[in-house]
Amino acid sequence: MRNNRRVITAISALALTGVGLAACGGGDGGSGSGSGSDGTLRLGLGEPQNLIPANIQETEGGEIADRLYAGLYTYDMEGNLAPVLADGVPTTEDNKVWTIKLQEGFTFQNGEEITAETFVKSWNYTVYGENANYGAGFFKQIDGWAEMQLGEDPDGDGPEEAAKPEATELSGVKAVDPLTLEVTLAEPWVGFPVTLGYTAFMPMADECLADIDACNETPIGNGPYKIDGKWNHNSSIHMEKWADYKGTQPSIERIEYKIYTGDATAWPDFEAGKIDIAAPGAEEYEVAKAEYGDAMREEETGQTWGLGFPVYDEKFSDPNVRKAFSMAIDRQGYIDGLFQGRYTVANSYTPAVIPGYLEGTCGEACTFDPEAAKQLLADTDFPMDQPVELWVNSGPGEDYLKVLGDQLAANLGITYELKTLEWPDFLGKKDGHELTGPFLTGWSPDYPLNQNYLEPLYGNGPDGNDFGFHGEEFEQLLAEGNRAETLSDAMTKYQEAEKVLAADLPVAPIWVTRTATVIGENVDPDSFQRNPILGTIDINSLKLL
Amino acid sequence: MGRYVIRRLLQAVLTLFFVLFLLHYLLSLAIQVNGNPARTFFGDKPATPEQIAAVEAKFGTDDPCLDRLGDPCLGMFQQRMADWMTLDFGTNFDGYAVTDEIVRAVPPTLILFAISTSVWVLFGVTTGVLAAMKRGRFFDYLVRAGTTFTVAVPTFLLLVITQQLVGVSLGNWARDTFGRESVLGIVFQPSYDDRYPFLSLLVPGILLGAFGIAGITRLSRTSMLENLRADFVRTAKAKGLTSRRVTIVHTLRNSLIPVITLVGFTLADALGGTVITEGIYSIPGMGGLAYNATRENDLPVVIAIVAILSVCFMVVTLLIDLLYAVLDPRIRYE
Amino acid sequence: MSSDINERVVEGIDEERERPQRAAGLWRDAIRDLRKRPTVIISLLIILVVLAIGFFPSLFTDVDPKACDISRNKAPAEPGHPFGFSHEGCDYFAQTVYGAGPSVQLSLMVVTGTLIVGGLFGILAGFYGGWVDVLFSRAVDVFNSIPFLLGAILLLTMFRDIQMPFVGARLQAIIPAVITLIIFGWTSTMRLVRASVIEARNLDYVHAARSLGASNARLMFRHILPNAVAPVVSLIPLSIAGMISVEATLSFLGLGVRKPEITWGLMIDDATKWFVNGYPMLLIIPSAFLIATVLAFVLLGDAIRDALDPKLR
Repeated sequence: MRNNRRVITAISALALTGVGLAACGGGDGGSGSGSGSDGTLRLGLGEPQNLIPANIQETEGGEIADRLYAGLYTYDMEGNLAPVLADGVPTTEDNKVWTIKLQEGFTFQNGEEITAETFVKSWNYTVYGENANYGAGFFKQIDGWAEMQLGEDPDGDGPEEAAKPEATELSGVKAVDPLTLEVTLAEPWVGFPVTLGYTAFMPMADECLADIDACNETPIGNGPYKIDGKWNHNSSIHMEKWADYKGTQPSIERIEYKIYTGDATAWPDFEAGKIDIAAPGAEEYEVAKAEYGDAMREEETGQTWGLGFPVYDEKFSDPNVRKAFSMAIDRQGYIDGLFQGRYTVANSYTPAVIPGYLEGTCGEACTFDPEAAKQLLADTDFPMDQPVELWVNSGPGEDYLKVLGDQLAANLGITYELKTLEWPDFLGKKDGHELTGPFLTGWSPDYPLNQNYLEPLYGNGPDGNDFGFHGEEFEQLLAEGNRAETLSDAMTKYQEAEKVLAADLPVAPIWVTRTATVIGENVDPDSFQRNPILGTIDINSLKLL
Repeated sequence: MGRYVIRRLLQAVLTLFFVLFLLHYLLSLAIQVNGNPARTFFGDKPATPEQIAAVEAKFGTDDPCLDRLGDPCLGMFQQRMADWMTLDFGTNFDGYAVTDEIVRAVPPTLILFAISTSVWVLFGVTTGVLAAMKRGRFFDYLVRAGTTFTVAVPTFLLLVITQQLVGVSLGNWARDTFGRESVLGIVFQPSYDDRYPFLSLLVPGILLGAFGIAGITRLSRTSMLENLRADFVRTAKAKGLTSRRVTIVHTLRNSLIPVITLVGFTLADALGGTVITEGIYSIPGMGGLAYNATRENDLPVVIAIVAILSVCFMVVTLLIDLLYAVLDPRIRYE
Repeated sequence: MSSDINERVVEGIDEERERPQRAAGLWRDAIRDLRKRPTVIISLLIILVVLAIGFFPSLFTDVDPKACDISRNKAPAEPGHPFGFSHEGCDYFAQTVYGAGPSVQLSLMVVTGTLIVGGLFGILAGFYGGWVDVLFSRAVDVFNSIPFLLGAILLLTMFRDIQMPFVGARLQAIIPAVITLIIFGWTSTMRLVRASVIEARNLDYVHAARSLGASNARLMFRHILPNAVAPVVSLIPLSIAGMISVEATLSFLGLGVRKPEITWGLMIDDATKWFVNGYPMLLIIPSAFLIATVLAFVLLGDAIRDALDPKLR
């Protein structure tokens, strides 16, 4: 199975810094050498895994979906919900039953109309257990989700089949009339609308659901662009502006994505003038910055990285051990040395682009102080005589963790060993709480709300998260936040939960990724902006020269 | 000859069976040792056992034998072989037919091999023969030093440096000077361009050709030297034939027999080399596919490609053996 | 065959007496020939230095290659640090010195392994013939049919997570690669040995020794093996050169030795992208060491082959 690149892993860092963002590259219009003045934007992209909204899980697929499909909502540059197909924000009386109004007149590119019923069918397909869609998990909070999943396998992995799902339709989703969609949640949650901008909630045409495989090769979209031809695997995806799109029409007529596989990135092609917008890799960053100057844009993202601790392990169960490790890391020095200063030091659990961000929740524990760290560790029972095992999955993360290990060794007087595992093995051991030392861990947002950086990662009791962490007050505050009346009340509660969490430090936050993007000479640099939540270029504002 | 061919074919079929079983067993073991790849579908995001079970069922890794370490999964093997007979290689972990992926990957690799083979035959054999004829002179030493050096430089190093120097630096100059779509601008580029499959594969093809060219050049040289001293050449000279005719008709033709064998074997060896070449130059061929699939643990793709490449290898060696039997009358098989 | 046994025995004994002298003559000639070549002397010197570095790196530098300070990343050379610092802030000279170890050790282990495995299988197959030969020859076919590099990549990707008991971190880093390369590398030695054994098996002195009651094991290892060795010997330096290259390639692909262990292949992998981005020396230094080492083994191997097989010259 492929590495899931949207979710943060060591691999996804490669995708984001190298191919993935190169993918989000920009435009070409008029051109220096005269051949590009055809209104075409040429971008690079890694090979997407899938182009069906129900199953998209990484930046590559998300980039294409963002062009071909339009959802109920998207996120604006501040991370707020912005209607696209919907008419205004969702309304509710009790935070349990939500009503979403649709605008009239939107259709799919094959002529099918988009009504409330379209969403009911699309979401039923996405959630139904036997279809094994990645996007199913995003509907968890909706009433009836559990009944749509496969039953428990009576004999584990034995010969008997797991029971079929009890229901084929999501009971919490109803089309009241063609333009009104009603969603009932299992529990009231004020944050629900915030999740609706994600790819998994995008509509799919009947023709598409009837033959998903064909639709994956030649997507039937409903967005500003229409695919030209089909998906040429490992080679290219071309698309043209769809004139019948009722939403905002972008100015760029045509986008050609060139697909890069393996370690290859769009950067050499950008330098060769064959790609219009690209992201330099870590090694090219400094040279690119010097060479392109103002044409390079750097932006914050919602991708955070940290050193996770096995709280379930005796050696790391003492919060002071974890604090000592965290204080022994010179975060700025680390980022300057390894990433040429292009990333931001993390001193909170939530990154700055996410609504609900609070600065400095990690406080003293995230401040570099080798003397205090050494003293703190000496006062604990931590066994200094055995090497600390640092765990990572194979890929660029090995480098990241090695340099962290070097710092820990120098500042704490410990020795370390790197334990590198293949991705499935790493995930299995992490799920099973079998990692015997700190590990590299990261997160990118599913939806722009600080709760997304807290509850899924550290909540659900000691067996419900990777760290074996259990904070009663933390979970209490999260629950209060989930029950809050308004979104701002909820955010405040989540922030309180974050502060409580920071005292326990199951993860030492280290850095927040920043993207660097260089804009080629065919694109108006002032028109370039990247959506910090989706990670894609805002195609509506982008203009060719 | 007929019996030889039949025996050789039977051997090949037997070998193929064992290779396929070996690959199947290795992959089953890999899942048993490393954990079920279905889990990676959800990445760092938590997933319920039910969700994982659904993914396992979708991708055919739900057979309980995959949980028993050392189990050869014979049932899966039987099923796999039956599918493969109909050229159905299953689906990869993104749900695409592996057969389609492979069919798409064949043309770039064939072009790459066509270029590399031309390099071996045209450049390797020519320099080898010329070096033999100018034995002991400067050109001979130059060729010997050159071949030694190509052996000593690892292929990946050559590829990476060429990509940067030729693809980017020289290429940018060519594109600035002659235009973006000029022939030189396309030839000197850092990655594959599907609009110009042949031109953009020229440089990586030549570099792949550098892999193994030393062996071919040297064998051409020694084989030529041996034959220049051979009795039949002496006889031909004694008969008063011109030296050019002796060289071309008698010596060269006979010298090339072992070289053809080596070209075949080098071609088969280079199947592995394509993994690196195609990986670095982002060529969507068989090697590139294998490279990515291995990194992503996409087992159905890996096993299919290795199996197909192994079959290619066997076919190539079989053809070499048969060709050899035809070309060299001294070889007669029991 | 069985007639005139006595005569054969007498002849065979003569043959046996004569044989070692002839073999020694071949070797003596070869060594005399090798001593006269400057390339051989230079290659041997380089190889000796590399072996010394590989096995006793601490003789060459006092700096700990694993004591890295990220704040000195890519810093230029200074007194005490003649090659400057790596992109992770490690002393580059110390890394280069310690980076020889895994390459050298791995290649020697792999070549020894292939010689033992391939040699043993080759002798057994060649000596016994029949179904033993069929079995081993089919096995060779099977392993030969999987392209070497692809097979190595496949196996290493699948199985390098396995933790080996009783093995230190340093060996743990190279053992998976060693096993993989032996698995895919023994076949050529096996074929060479098998061919020479079949040739030697039917020589008269072997028949003689057999009829004098020598055991099979004695026949194989005492009488046949010494004569089957020559073609394999010239292969050794070339195999070592090949394995050093392969080790670098695997490390470059992220499949060989892993951090925090150091090897030239890993250093090259790390340095590749810095080459055109302002720090060419990071790539040039380990590449130069790698190429010089491989070149030395290749030149030595060529020279030995020429010396043992003069007609190829």
